[in-house]
Amino acid sequence: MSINSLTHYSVIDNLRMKSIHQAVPLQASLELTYRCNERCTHCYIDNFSDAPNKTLSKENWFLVLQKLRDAGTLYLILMGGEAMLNPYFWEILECAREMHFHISMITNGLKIQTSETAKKLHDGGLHLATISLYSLDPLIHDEMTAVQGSHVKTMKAIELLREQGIEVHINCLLTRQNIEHHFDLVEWCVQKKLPMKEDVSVTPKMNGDLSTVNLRATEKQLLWYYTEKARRWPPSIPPLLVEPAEDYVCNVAKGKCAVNPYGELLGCIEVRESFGSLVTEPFGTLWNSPTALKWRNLRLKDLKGMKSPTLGGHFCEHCFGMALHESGDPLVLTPESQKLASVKESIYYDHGNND
Amino acid sequence: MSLNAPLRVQRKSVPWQEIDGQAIILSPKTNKAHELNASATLLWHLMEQARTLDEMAKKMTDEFEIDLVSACRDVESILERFVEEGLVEYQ
Repeated sequence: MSINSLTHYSVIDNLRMKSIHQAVPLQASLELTYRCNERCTHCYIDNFSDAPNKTLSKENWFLVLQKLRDAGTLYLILMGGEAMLNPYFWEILECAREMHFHISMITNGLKIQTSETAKKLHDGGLHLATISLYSLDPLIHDEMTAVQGSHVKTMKAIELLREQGIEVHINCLLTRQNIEHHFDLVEWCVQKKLPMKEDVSVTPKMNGDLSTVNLRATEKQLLWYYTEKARRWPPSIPPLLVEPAEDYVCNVAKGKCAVNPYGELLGCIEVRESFGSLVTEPFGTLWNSPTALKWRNLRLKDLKGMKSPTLGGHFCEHCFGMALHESGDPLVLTPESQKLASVKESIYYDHGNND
Repeated sequence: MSLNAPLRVQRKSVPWQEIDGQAIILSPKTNKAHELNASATLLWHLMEQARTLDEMAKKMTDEFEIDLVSACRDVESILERFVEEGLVEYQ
């Protein structure tokens, strides 16, 4: 009899590889609602409301959880909109805890303003809260969320959650509004020992509205940002990606999936094409449907406009969902992804060890 | 730890999943992940309800080609690991 207790990441890395190769949805993101108490200018949600006749009952959310559990999901990410605005949020959290998921939540923290609420989240089984924080400067943060006072509340939530022993990470989307102030936030996170994830990819709205892409950082800003990041932390220099043409582009509909507020199964948050209703259909039927297989089987060689992925490597991190929204074709390299690849290539050759 | 002690042991409510007959258990106490083989996975399932050590050892002999003495030794050994990681509690 054996128990193989490696470091968390060793075991989990093995598990992730297995989940990708066997298409086990190890991670599931649940959009509990499109409703939100912020109005972030960059958000992909087009209308911060749920269609009343399509939202799930408490019992149907429990059914969705059970189907994900049976399909092999371990990591559950509760999100929105603002997840805590789902009227059954606490019941769903409790049900997920009883089903032994590892539960994390992406939240703006506005509903977490008392110790009692933070404790209730802890007792409800929340392991990790990923907080969306856009700047240390309240003016910039509040401008991006379009809610005055949101910065103060988000900062308070971070403290309350940590007091309860809940692990907190920071998520920061970088746009032309906040990117030039970003390293103040980085230093604060280092000081507070808060892991931070930053992203420069502003997604079009899911109804096809492209207005959000105007918020993307300019090429000049991106060049400055990656240069400064490389100077401060050399391991962050973008890597040259050398991948066989047969490799998968990403993990869509393999080791991860998503469920929208109406119970429809998706390949991931970015790829919004529904595989069907997880309430009415067995998970396996949807997960092995032609729609799911279409996304699952896409490989590097399928991309259009890619410079020979087998020769010499590349710097492009393609997102099917973003390309679909932006160009109508998930396989086309968008001008934005090419711009980003160009910036990364420049940083690599200017600052990397290219021996 | 003795098999004569009337202790019952039950797993705690921690995140876990089973893939390909192997349980993966996450320990909030130590932030480690544990990968169990088939027999340890069976033990984990048994502990969904409170069990005595000899109940679990007996079950092991039913399911695997192992004698009772060896099964007791193995069960004790793995329970010690589970205790260290804060994954089980005695009642």
